[in-house]
Amino acid sequence: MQYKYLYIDDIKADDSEKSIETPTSLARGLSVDNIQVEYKHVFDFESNNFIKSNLSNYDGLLLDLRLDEYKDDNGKHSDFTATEFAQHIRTLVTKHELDKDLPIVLFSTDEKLHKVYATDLSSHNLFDRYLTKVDTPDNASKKLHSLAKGYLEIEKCKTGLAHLMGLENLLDLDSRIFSRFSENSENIPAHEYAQVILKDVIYITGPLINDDILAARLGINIEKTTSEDWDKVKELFIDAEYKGVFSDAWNRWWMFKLNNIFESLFNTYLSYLDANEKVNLLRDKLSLPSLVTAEPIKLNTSTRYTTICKAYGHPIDEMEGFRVYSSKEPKQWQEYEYASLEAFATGKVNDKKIKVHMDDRDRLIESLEELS
Amino acid sequence: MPQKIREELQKVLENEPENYSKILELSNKLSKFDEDNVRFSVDAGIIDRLGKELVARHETAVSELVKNAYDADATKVKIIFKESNQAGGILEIIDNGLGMTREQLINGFMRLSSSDKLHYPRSPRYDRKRAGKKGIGRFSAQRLGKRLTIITQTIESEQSLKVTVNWNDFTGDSELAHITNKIEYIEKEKDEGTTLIIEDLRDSWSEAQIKRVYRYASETIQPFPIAKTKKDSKSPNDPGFKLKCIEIYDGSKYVIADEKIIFFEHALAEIDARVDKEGYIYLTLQSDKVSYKEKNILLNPNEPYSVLRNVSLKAYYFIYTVNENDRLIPKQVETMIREKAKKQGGIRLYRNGFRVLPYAESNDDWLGLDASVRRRSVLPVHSNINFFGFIELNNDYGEQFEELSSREGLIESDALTQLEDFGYKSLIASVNRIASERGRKLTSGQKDWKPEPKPEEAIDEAIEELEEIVKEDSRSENNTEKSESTEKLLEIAEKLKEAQTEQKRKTKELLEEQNLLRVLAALGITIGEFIHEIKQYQGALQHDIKYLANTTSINEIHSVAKTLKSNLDGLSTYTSYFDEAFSENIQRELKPIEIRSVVSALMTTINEDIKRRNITFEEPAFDGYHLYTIPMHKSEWASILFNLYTNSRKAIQRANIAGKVLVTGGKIYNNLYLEFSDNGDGISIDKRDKIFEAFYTTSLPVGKVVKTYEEMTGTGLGLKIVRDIITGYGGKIFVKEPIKGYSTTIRIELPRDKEGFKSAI
Repeated sequence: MQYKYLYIDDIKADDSEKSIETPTSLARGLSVDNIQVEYKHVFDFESNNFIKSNLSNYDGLLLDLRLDEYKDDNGKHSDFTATEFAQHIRTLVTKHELDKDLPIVLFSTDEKLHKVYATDLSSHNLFDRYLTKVDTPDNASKKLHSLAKGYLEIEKCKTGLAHLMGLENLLDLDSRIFSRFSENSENIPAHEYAQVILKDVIYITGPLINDDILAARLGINIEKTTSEDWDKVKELFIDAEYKGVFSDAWNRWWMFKLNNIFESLFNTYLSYLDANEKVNLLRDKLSLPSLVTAEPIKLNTSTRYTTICKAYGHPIDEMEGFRVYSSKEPKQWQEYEYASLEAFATGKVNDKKIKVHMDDRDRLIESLEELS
Repeated sequence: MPQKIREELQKVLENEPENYSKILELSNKLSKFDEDNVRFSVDAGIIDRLGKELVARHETAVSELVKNAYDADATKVKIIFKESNQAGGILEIIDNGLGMTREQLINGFMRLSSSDKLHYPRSPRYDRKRAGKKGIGRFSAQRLGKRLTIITQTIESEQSLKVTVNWNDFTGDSELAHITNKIEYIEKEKDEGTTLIIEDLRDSWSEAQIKRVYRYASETIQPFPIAKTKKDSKSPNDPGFKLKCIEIYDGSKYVIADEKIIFFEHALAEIDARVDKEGYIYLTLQSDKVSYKEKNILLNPNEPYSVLRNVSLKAYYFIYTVNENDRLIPKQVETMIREKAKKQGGIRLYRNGFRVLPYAESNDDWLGLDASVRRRSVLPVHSNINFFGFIELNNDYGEQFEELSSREGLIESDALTQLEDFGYKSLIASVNRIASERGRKLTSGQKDWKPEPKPEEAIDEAIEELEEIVKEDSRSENNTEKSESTEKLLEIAEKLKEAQTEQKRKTKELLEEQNLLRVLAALGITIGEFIHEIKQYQGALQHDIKYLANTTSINEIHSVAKTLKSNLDGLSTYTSYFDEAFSENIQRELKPIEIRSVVSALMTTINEDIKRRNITFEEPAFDGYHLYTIPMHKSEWASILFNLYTNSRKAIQRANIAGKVLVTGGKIYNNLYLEFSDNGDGISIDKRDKIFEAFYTTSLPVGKVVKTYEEMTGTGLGLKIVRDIITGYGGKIFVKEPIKGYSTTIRIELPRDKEGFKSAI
């Protein structure tokens, strides 16, 4: 099914020759088979009751962050930024003055995102995601499609959260994740569901893990393993794959299911074994002698990998890693990100602007000093 | 009335004939009744008046006392400041001069305006030209402290004389002649010499002030060893004169000024050479200022001297300032050293501890140094005035050398010819080594003996001195008229200080701006280099677009779109690299830089470029952890590495081979190093220093019709800016012997920030 996104910017389409940011091209660039992006100027968007009367014709909204920058020929510019519009729309939906809830995605240049969005966290739960105008990731359209589709699914299935998550029930999950939806679930707008599912479960490692962490926990070096081999491994655990809402654009695995499958296959627990033991079991099981065990990063020794080093992307045992700073502390069911000592010692962390979590700083400095 | 005095005088003469003071006083009183004559009388207050008027500053006062010791033919003077950091301390001036007899003490020291110096302008034993000013000495003593004790003895005397003068007795309204000073005879403490003990000092003494004493007295000082003298000789040669200023406080002793501290610390190099018992010359050369030391360098490996044996040379080498930017000796010291060198520079000759004349007298160029400078065959400076040194002939009693009977030098012989050769060779070998050491570091930019010339330091010092002098003067004066001008002077000093602070702030701003501009310039040039690359992408993009516009085949469109994307990605790596470099630059924040990260950033950026040019960028090899530089601009590293890379690329192009580039790095002590190697056409040895000079370029001359970017890249400014950046942080860059498998290796060394990792995590 094709979804229609509306893209609002304060740059006029016919200004494209003057400006490097060319809304028309950007809209066209994001439009693929099942996504159609339509551009409108912010003046059209904010006038003539457009939002209330026309927004329901769209399945998603792309907003430039600073909609208040460029003036028209009369020296007039919009008074609002994406934040105000987004809040306005979210409120209209909640008050049922707008009959369709839809994903709102920030679409801006990296510097602006960094300057405003990354600094002020109060507006974060208004948006489902952000996209950069320059170097827009290849999978952007896929994600936009999934968001639009997901919103429609949520709308239809507010009382069936387990079904939304692709599960039979939610008993295996931390009850705090969805506790707020246990009451009044019908009246809570779809965007609230989306926020929790995306930001509390999918985006961050916790009950769901991504491919890299899956590989780490299985002890496999995916860079050195062929994709055919890796596919066979994943096939073995296919029942653990996340099949819920947004799963078409985000590949995730249920950790509790992975544990169960592993146990039933090998009659032992995933967390009991080191990487070699796990990979040997998988090699035998799949007759894949070419499966490559992940070696520890230099300066590390443990192969009981639980996560990956954020700087190298390579498996580490979190006991040997150092927690990484993030603007938000993980919730109880979420996990920290880690980086390895080697990454800090070689300055690799600088490339990705990774900083240590303040609680691990002293320990890190001690370890680093031992190296000098 | 007069009768009464006469009677009293008579009584005293009869009953207390030794009460000289009373007799003097009465006679004096009596003389006032002389109706035919009148007489001048002197008020005791004159001592205080004269002292203050003649000797304004206490440093001058002490240096005058030192000169008196010199005039008394002393060879060593020791000045001890005891607990003198506050007023009330004790000062002792101890010399080993001729000392004074009772008559000399009474008619010389105790007699105001004595004319000894006018009658005898040269000293009796060593024929020294007298340095002290007429009659200043005693007033200096008065100026310095409240009580003076003189202990003096001559070689002939059997006892020492000890006189104590209490300057507080010399108050106004009493007759000068009536004030008595106690004289005692005590046991001799040494053969000859005078000790002055000045107690209850009027001033406090700082270390700088003590050093100033030394400088003020420096005209008497000879930075050579004291020579022995023959007692029988009628007028023996002046063996030399040494001064040592010592401070004692809290029971500890500190040498504040002696020839080592004042002179030799400023020498560029210390030269030690000797001829061993087989005739070989060994040279040991040390220079702290260029961090160089080499021991026992054999200078004549295959041709030992035929006769010359067992002689040694010791010399200190000074280079005086020609260019302010290349100053080796602090300004206020240099004048003193240079003046001294004009009269006493050169290499003296000592034989068994006795000085042999006329070697190294002014106008004697026995080693041919000045002549050699005129020949210009050796370029580094090496005139007599550049050295203070001496050659020693030890245990030689005529076996090698004989002195002329006229005592005017040694008899011409093979040994003397070889001795002159030894002196000349050792010095020339030394200056050449030092010059090449300095030269390498100069052209590679290191001036670690004086990182930046700082005229403001000289100004600071001048202001400080001005203030000090004014304050001291105001302390010693009670005249209100003068204190007004003192106020004014202090005001001026304050204004100078304020202006200086402002000046420093502005200089700092300017420097920051200059740094920023330098970084921008460097980036500009690197961008210039890459415009060429960017243009290639542009061309490809234009053609692809044109093709897209005309084609109808969907498959073709897909394939062209792929090419478009890859070209655009190539373009993006450049723009994002420069974008980051510039935005980091705008922050103007200096951060410790991890060299692995900057090298990996470079590799990402040039990835497309090396592929197209068939250059292999080998996996960089770094040794050790914490390779952080001292805080720098990240964009400076972009400039450094881009310039090195483009140079390598050009060299590879010229060599027309499959190129390879390797970056290695690590740390040594407090520095880190990075070596950039390529297998291009190499840099010949004679050009290795030149490539860092402005406008030197290995690129072929550009043709008449040039594109701007070609002009820019051909200027040869790139490596110069790289060098400026690196030396600006106290580092160095030079071309070293290429590492194995490569033809050029450029090495960068920069100070390491050991704690840098803390700022990065």
